[in-house]
Amino acid sequence: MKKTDRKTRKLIVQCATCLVFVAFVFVMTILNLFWPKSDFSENENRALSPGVDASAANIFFGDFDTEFETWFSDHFMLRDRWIEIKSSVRKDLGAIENNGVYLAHDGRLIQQFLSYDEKTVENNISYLQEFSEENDVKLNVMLVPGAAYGEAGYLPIGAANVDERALIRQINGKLSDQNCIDLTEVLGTKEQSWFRTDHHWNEKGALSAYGAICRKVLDKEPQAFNLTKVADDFKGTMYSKSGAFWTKGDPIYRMDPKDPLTVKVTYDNGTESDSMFMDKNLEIKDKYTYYLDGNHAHVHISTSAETGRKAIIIKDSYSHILIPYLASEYSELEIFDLRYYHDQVSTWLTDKENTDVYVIYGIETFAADSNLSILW
Amino acid sequence: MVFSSLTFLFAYFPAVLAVYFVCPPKWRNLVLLIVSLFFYGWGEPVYVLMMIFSIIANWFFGKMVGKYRKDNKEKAKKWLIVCVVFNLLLLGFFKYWDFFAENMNAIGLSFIKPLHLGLPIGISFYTFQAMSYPIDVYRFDTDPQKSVISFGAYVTMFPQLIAGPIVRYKDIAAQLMKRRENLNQFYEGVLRFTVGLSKKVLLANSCGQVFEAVRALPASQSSVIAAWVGIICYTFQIYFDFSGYSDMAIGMGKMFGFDFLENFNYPYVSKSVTEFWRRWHMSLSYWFRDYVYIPLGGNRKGFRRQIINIMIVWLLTGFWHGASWNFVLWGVFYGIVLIIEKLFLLKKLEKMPEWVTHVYTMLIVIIAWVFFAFTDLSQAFRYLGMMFGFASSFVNKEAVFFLRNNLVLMCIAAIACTPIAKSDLNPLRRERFAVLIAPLVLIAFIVCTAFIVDASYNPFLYFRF
Repeated sequence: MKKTDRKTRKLIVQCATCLVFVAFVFVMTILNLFWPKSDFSENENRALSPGVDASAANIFFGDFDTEFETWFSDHFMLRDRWIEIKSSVRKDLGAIENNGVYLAHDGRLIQQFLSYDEKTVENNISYLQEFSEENDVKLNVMLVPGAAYGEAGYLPIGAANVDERALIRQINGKLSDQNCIDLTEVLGTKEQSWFRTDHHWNEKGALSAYGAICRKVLDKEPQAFNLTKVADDFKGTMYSKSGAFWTKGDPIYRMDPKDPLTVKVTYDNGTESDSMFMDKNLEIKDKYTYYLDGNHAHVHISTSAETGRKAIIIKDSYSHILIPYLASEYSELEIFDLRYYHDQVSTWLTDKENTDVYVIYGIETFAADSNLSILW
Repeated sequence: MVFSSLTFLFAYFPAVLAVYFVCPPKWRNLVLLIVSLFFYGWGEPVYVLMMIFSIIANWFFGKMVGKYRKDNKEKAKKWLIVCVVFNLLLLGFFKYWDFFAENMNAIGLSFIKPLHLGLPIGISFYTFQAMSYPIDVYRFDTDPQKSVISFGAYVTMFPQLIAGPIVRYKDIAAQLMKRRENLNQFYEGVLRFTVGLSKKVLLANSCGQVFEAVRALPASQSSVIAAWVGIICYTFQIYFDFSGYSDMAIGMGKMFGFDFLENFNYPYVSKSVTEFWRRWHMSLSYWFRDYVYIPLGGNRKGFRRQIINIMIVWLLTGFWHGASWNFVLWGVFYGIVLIIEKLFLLKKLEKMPEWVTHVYTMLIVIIAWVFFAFTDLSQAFRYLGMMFGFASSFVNKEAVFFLRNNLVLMCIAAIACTPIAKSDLNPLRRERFAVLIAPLVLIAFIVCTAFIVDASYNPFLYFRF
């Protein structure tokens, strides 16, 4: 009796296991077959594979197999849920990082900055120097440290990052002919200066930097601004990259000077706007594009500020949230993103007397971007 | 298409399972042949023709060898030689021509040109496998296979086609003709496949990422500890990758009613390098033993000849792993270590404390993996230098990060290298806990799927960047 009992139990285990396996594989296969397909992955910010070229030529001599496999995984059912399972398993197994993002305390997602290429940094320094010498103009250089520096207190034990303070000071030291604005003492001392789920700094960080510019470049006191919350659920790049989809979003603020300012913004694609804020972008995932409509090669702003001064800003996306503050100090701003703007910036330098030239980059982009060579 | 891909798990494999079990048993070899050719043709739509040609040729050689082996040994031997030359030429041409040509060019003979043909997937495995058949027939180890379809099913069988184990014809000749797929075997197959998939996806891939991250660090951020963390992760990666693949192959074989020989037997618990090679990629070692070492005379022709034979086998083993000098060096290194062990070291090791023998073995194995990991020899030596002190520091924050971030992973990997799961310490072996097996299989599959989907996750931070 006992022996048969044992046998039946073994049989049950075997049947159950095989059933679980077969059912999982077949149910998933069939569900996936009929799962609705989408064209765009919001979290990845990229178009998904549109389909596969099934011509004989592609099958026999092309990349049909890899194209098919890409298409298959791009449209796999519940894609984001699987990603979330993976990142939570990693977290549960004691990992402090996923996909280059630290899972920091207080639900903060902080970009890892593990290493950089010294050669690129050297090159970028010399491009700036040469640009300055060639055009006989002093540059106002502002390298913005990342959250890994300013919010280091939130990082899990064992996190390793480039010493951003040392790197920024080393660069500033080599740019001693320029006017360098060191933010390492300004940012992250009192307030939260970075978004929790994005690699950019936030409205408070940018405000502190605006104050620093007023003191170090314009030699005046900063103006007062009203901050209004316009959105509450900004899930930024770190949210997407980390796969930590359980994280809460960030608020987005609009900043208006206490003394009203009218602006006219002209984008490189010809669109004009009477605001530096793009309300419609509050509806999309990347709400940071609320500021100056995200990445553009060239943006022109004219304002009602009667200072008679012009700013030329060579920048990456870190500057987008700073410019609404800075605009109140200039009658005109010409903003260039060298990743997309491939012409001579120097041709815009017509009235040097009344022009301030800024170089505003996140330190991590500055240490990796090779597009500054265009200045040269 | 690799086993650990969504296309395989949620399209190809379920389709194959369904077709295989719907068909009556007498058609199943044909089914296996067709689906395997499709599997191969998926990645190699042109070379599949060459594979069909190789199948027919080897089947024919086997038939001729079988025809003459009794009455006309001479003629049988001639056919065998033709067969071996045919297979080696095929392998030699596709795998080694460019290497040969480039080295010839390097010494000034430039009339030989590299052709830059793609290496047909799995050619190293399937030519060895196909070649074993006429040899086994010649040696009366097996009888010729009458059906070219069954022989084709043997050569192409997709579970072991691209990464082994190298199944010798005589080992599955009987199963090829008559096998009974049953619940118990299918159940074992499911468990084995799940274990293999988890090893590959959860352990090997994760450890591989650590090694890649460590090797990408600039020299100024290198440290002794980071280098060790990196190479230990590579050591894990290569074992779990390869043995995971073998497990999946053996598991799927079982589902289809085959019993393939084991390919790995916990190699990292070995007490000597000799033992390591009895536990690592066993099907390859058997192949070289049976078809190279023993025919060369093995240890029966005196000690000097034995040493030469060992060196020949290891030169070939290294070269089989890849057409590049680092693999040759890797093989020669092992040949020398094995000879030293044979000469005196094995006897000394026996008298030493166990932990010393483990440390010694793993040290040799890990150093050898450095030459496996870097095809560029100067890089291999630079990495080795870092491990033994020529780094910018002994331990730095990067090393601490890699350790901290992967501590649990490395501990799980280390445990999974030992046969603990096969011992009574494994609660799942007790009847009481057997109910957990089915849910665990489900969980493992879900987590593996998540990791596989994640591998294709590719966020763009900056649009238009």
